[in-house]
Amino acid sequence: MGTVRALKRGLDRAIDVVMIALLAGIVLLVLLQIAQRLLPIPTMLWTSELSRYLFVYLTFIGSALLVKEKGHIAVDLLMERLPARVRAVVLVLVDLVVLAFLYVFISGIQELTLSNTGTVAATMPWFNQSYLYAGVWLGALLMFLYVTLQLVEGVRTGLGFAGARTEDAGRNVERGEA
Amino acid sequence: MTFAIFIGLLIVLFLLRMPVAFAMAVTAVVLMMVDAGVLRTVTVSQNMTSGVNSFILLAVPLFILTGKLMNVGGVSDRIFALARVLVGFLPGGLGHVNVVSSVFFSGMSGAAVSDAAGLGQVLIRAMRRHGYDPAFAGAVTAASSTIGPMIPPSLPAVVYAVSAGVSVGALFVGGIIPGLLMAALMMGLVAVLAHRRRYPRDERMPTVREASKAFGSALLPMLTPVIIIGGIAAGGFTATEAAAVAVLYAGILGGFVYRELTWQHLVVALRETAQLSAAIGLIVGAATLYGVVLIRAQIPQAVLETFTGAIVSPLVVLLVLNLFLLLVGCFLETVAAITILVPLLMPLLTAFEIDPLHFGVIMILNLMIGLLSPPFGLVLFVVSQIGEISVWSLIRALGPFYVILVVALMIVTLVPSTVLWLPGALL
Amino acid sequence: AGEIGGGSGDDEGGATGEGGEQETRALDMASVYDAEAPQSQAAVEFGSLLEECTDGALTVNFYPNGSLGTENDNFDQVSSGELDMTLAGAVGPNMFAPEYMFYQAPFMMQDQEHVQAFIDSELHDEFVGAMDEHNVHLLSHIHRGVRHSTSNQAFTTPDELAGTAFRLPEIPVWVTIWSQLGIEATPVALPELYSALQTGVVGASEGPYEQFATFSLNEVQDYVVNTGHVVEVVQFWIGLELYESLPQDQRDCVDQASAEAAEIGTQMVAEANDQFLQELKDGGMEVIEPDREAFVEAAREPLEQLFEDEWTVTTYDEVMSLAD
Ligand code: NA
Ligand code: NA
Repeated sequence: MGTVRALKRGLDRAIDVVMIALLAGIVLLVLLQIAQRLLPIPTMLWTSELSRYLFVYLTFIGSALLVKEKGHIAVDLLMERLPARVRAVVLVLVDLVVLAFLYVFISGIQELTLSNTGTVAATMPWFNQSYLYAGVWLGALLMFLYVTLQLVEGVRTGLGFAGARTEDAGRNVERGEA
Repeated sequence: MTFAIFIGLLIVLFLLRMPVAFAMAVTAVVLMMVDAGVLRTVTVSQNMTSGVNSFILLAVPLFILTGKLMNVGGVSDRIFALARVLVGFLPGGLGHVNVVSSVFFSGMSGAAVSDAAGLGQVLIRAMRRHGYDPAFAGAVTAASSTIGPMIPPSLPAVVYAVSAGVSVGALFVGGIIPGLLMAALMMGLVAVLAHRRRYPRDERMPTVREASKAFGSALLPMLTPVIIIGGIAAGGFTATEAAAVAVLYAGILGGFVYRELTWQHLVVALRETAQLSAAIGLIVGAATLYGVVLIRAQIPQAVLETFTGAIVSPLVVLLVLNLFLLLVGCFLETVAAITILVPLLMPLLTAFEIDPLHFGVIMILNLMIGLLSPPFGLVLFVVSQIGEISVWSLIRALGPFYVILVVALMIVTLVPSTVLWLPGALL
Repeated sequence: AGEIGGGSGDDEGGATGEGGEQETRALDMASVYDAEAPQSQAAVEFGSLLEECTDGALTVNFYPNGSLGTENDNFDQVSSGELDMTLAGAVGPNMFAPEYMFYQAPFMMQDQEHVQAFIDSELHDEFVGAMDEHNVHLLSHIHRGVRHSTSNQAFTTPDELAGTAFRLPEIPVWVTIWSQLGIEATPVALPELYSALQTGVVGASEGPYEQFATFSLNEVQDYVVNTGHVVEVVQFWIGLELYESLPQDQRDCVDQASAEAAEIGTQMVAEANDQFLQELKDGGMEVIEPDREAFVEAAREPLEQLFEDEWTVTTYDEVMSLAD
């Protein structure tokens, strides 16, 4: 149990670092794009395309950690009025539906990753389009993992001891701006 | 049946607190299966991915980051001090200060929520201390924060520009006059309410020395919009690139000029920005999928045909769309609403020769009102949380502000030059 | 399905009529082009021709304006069988058969006749075969006209253009070749084109007259320079599996309707282009006929290199000889 927890904490931290690095990369690339016009440095056409891809990675890989951080924007009006027991059941059901969707998403992304191995990025001959999809695929797998962990936790605490997850309710709204 | 799924399932999932992005994606998948009888997995994954894959969209994380760096870099307090010197002595002083601070801050921040959360904290605290009732303090904060996305930079404007294929720069400039109009109307309202409820004001006019000190200390952050708009107008960079310049400027101000921005702050700002951006990115991706499935199920076409069958003049179209958008704004997240609706409404705009720039500002203003309205108004919840005010008392206190905002909306709708004149003159 | 969604529900798998008399099927066709564009009107025309030819057994739902995704998305969806058809340009060939992309390279094809000669050649049959392997079948071509340039600085040779910040789409081959001509290739998103030209982020751009006119570039640029560097085609594409699953008579109808619609489209595009050019002139732009030979000569070396590295299915001289 201890190792599992340590592994999970390591994963959380790794995604956190990757997200920060991706965002910093976006800032630097866009600044570089301006600099190459204003300063006498060589033109680097790929800045725009690469920065877009970093944002795609940031979105999907980051979305995994957001599951754990309750950072996905959601609306809470009805749920906080429900009895804890009902709420726990609903949360589990919602997680199951999200997992089903992620399964669909992952299989589609997998197909795209495999079918795009021959396509290169417009401005980066070394960048295979399937790398883009592979990043999204990784993000989706991680999302699947985090939702599963949340589901297990929900079943264990929510259905076992009603109300264990009540303090979660509404937190995502507070994080809406963050 | 398809229409019931399109609206009904989405709302049910929202109510069950499924995150907005997943709720849209799940609804799209179900709609696709019911309508077409098959599950197109590549369509699902492809559209969600390519919806996020847009250069202009990069302005989202960049403007969020700018706002955060300004907040931790000590800018909010400086703006508050400046606004206080300028309008604190009016009847209902801090109410005006609240509005004017939002106008200043809107030049640095692109999202209503970051205005409400950053400045709001400072202002609600100050207003409570001076004996304003908390609900009113919250209401002014919430209402005035909607000025943020009207005045550039603006996240909704960026997203609209991406969806509608209009110039971000022009849309930025087009929102300035409507934003100022909203501010003027709100200050009028604050004056009336303050008079009736005998709210306090600052006892004396500020001295010249106090005033110039406040100006001096807020001068540099106040230059941000000048840099953004000036840089775009002078050909230094595009609107998206301007967002990165704003980040750089905010970093230099906080890190080297005010020296309030530490490495730790920077990492926190990056982390929070990355997380919020990922959340918005996923919504944009899911909304793209949702829109595609919707269109392929022929729903918007049928709805628009019903519309156009009955409507004859552009003005009537605009008024009907306003009603529709106000309703949508109550239910849909801003970014999602724009990405979903713009492709659907474009043909109608073309048919009735409505300028997409004009409509962009109208749409954003509508959605800003939605941010303040139940059941899904994000600003409402944020202000309720940071101000420790119940949502229902906040809604009650917002009553007159809804009226004011609808008045602003009508003026902007009926007088297109409020939007179109400035971009023509400046760009 | 569909109290509101009129035709929905019957667009997949061919719903059978009650009495089993006749199968009807609606084909979904996506395009990124504006609904008003002449090629989009040709797509609508295709729909009515097909319906007529098949006695209503096949109809077309046309989705313009990129409402079903980018060109890239549409090709992926046709390839996977999730979308029936697309009306689109070079993006698909670039994805699935890049070794044939010479026919949309700058300063390669001379005119519409040259491109038509390629379309009629055996080389083109091989190209269609290469696309078929990805389940994307080419039906017919609309000649979309020629791409030219706009500039604030008059030029007739590559030398006079040297150093100008020039807006190009992010297509590596285009960037390579234009860069060899001495320009500063600068990526700008299309919605930002107007303001980028206006403010001087870039000083010149390229595209069809349609783009110049619809983006009102006459307000921010002085010259139209008829560089005629790319002779564009837009094609009707259909999923190969779907196409082969159709009964022979319906397949013939698809062929016939797409050929006729393409011809109509070509004609409409030509008329529209004349109109767009007139609009630009009326808007104050001056038209320059450059020394096209000088550009072709300057582009020859990088093009030959590309035939060696990427377009290995043929040679520069062979493609050029098609023009004779
Ligand atoms: Na703003
Ligand atoms: Na405020």
